[in-house]
Amino acid sequence: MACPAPQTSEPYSFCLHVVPDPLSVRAALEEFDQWLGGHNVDADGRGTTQIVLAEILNNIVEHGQLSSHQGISTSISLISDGVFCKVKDEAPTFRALETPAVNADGMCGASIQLAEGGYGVFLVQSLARNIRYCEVERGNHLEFVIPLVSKFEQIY
Amino acid sequence: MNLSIDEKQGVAIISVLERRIDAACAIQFKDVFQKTVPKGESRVILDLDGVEFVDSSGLGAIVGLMKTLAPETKLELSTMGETVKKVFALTHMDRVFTIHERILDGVPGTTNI
Repeated sequence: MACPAPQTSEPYSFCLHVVPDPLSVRAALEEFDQWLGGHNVDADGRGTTQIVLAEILNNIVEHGQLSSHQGISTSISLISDGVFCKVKDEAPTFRALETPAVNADGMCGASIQLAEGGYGVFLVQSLARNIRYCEVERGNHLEFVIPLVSKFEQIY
Repeated sequence: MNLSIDEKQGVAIISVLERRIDAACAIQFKDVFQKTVPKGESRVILDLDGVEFVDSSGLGAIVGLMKTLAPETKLELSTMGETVKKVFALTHMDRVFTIHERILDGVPGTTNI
């Protein structure tokens, strides 16, 4: 299950240490969703954030070859125009967005030719902005912003 | 993974009784669906009412089912929440599937989005 990470001093940030398995990812996504809802992020913004985080976290779980004690540190922060997300993992040779994305043919072809995978990276690239990897000594550190046009801007 | 099946006006309607079709259950969803779907139906509608979230694994499972059922059986979708609609729209799957806003009692045409 997802375990609370050390408390942050930032009032508009929330951090979880996610155990690398699909059910823990699901639990973490629901916790992030609740936290965003508690900060007046509307359903559209929460849904978008959940789509992106789900793809990134599940990609790490599926391909990152992490052991059960190597968690994924995931934090979200409300900023003026969206949700700023940081995902840190210790996957040795894998980056969450380096799996192949499905191409346009795979999405629009005849039903028999349709791809059954590869949509995740495409969804992230469609919904997230300012995606960047930071160089870290061990593992990967991914940052990105989910743009929001929601009511939470009113609190700033 | 809990699914239920109903038949209205000669159309098989399979309802997903879960809030999510995601990486944690996509394979199970596909297996249970294949065991649930009746053989020889020309139309099957997957009712997603109550499903709040579908990720790319869930989407891949639904696409896989459509491919498995074709060409004898056409898989259609119904009653998507906004987040699920977004996933289908971004991946252009809303152009591939027939998607109904809801299922009318008199099923055949139902209501397209």
